[in-house]
Amino acid sequence: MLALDVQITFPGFDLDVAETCNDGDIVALFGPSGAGKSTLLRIIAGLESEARGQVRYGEEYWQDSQNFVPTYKRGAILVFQDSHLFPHFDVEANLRFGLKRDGGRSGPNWQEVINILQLDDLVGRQTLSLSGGERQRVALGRALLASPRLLLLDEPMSALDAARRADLWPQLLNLFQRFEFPVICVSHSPRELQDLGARPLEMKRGHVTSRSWMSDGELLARVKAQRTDGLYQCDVAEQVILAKIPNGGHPDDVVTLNLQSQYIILARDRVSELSSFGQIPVVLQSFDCGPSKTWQFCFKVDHHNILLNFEHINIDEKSLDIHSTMYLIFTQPPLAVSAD
Amino acid sequence: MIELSSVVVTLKLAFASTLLLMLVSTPLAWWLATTRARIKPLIEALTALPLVLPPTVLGFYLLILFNPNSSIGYFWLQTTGDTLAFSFAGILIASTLHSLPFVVQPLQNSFESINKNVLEAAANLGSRPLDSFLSVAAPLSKRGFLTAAVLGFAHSVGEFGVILMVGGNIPERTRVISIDIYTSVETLDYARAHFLSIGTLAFAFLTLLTLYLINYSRSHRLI
Repeated sequence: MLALDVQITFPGFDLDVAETCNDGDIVALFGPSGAGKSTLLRIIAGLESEARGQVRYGEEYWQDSQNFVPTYKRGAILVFQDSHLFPHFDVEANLRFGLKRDGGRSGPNWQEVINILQLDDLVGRQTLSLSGGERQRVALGRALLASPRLLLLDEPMSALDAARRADLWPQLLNLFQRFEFPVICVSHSPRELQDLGARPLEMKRGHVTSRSWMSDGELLARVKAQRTDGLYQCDVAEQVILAKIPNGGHPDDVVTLNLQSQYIILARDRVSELSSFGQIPVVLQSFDCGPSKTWQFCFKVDHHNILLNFEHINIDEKSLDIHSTMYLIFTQPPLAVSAD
Repeated sequence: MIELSSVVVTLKLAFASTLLLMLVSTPLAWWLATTRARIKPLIEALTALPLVLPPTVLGFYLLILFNPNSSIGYFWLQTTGDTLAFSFAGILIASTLHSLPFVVQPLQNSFESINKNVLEAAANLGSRPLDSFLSVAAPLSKRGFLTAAVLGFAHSVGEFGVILMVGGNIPERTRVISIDIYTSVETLDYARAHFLSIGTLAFAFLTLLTLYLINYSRSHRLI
């Protein structure tokens, strides 16, 4: 089990995290850029000697007021965001680097890692000739062959396409569970990990802000009244939304609105005198453009995070500001069900 | 037949001091490249001192230090039965100290240019500091090692003032090419002075040309 209670201070940034992670746990660490996710992984790996507090792995104190176990003794293998392959070695020598220095620990074997990550064709290649996705696969393989006691992944598949990620994750998770080492994975697509049973950990500005998954496209609302046309007036963020409640609702009932992005327009300002079913202000938390131009947005509404996926929309990434207020405009009344 | 003992002494001195320089400078340059200690500027200044100091100053203090009345000189005399001053060992130490910045600085620059993340990755994968240095840092600094060795060797060949102060002018013992040229001019033996000077000039030029050609070809291969 990994137990940590660590702090670090940089100019204009404070990180303070207390968390435990059991053997076999897979933690999906997510949050906006600058939240401190990579720094937390570096602290656990032993690459931030300025960090204060305590890091304990099982009965071993990797860091406290008296001890600082250097990174090469920890076996907390970090897969860096930029791979950091050794440029003077070919792929095979990179893969074997950790294998020769695994401290006698047992771990996944060579052929298993080569097969899962489909590295057969890459083994003889020079690292400088690899694409971003290939580099990431080699870095992942190098880490697995080092027989980690704890695996720390910093966006390990950001350069791979969705199909390959979807193919790789289940196989890797199977491997992680077999060797029972805890895995902490920073991801900008945490949903991929949720589907595989990972535990969520959300960070913002150096602190853990949530340990639960964000509801995907769901929003709580309070029923105010039923209109003569059968639609219900519901309160969300002090705004009125018109919704359909097939099972009926009563004033003050709490309902869950099911937001469907194809019936929502995203606007940067409130639009007045608009024929719509309501509009609500939201604060942009993060956004990410996935494959097939699918944009995943995370918004905060009334202290709750919601995720919305928009497909085939034209948006200028540079015009989006994290923490800015935007508006969701409803072109159709959303469906609502009782939240109880 | 021209007497070439000074060439032999010079080459012996240059090879020995280059070896000694690489052994001393590599850990020193690595420490300077990686340390955050407050005394780093002090050590850097001390290392670079021979660049600006007249060789006679360094030679003068070494001569005092090598004197059999000093503890170092006495220890050497007791151990080897020979004095450090006016001996090959004496000029080897003097030459090494005087050429130190020519070796430390290119090595330090080379170590500093290594991507720190790659070294972190090596350590994180279980590589101990010496292992990281030998398996990652040193291979990535091949060009720095080559530049440092060539500069150290070439500078040792051209050594004059500090050798004259510490070693004097003893044939087959401390008389190097530069001192031989000086003696030849003093005794009006211009033919010998010409012979040795042209040889030294050609050697220095060819050494530097080789170094620049290697650097040129490597940088173009990388692109």
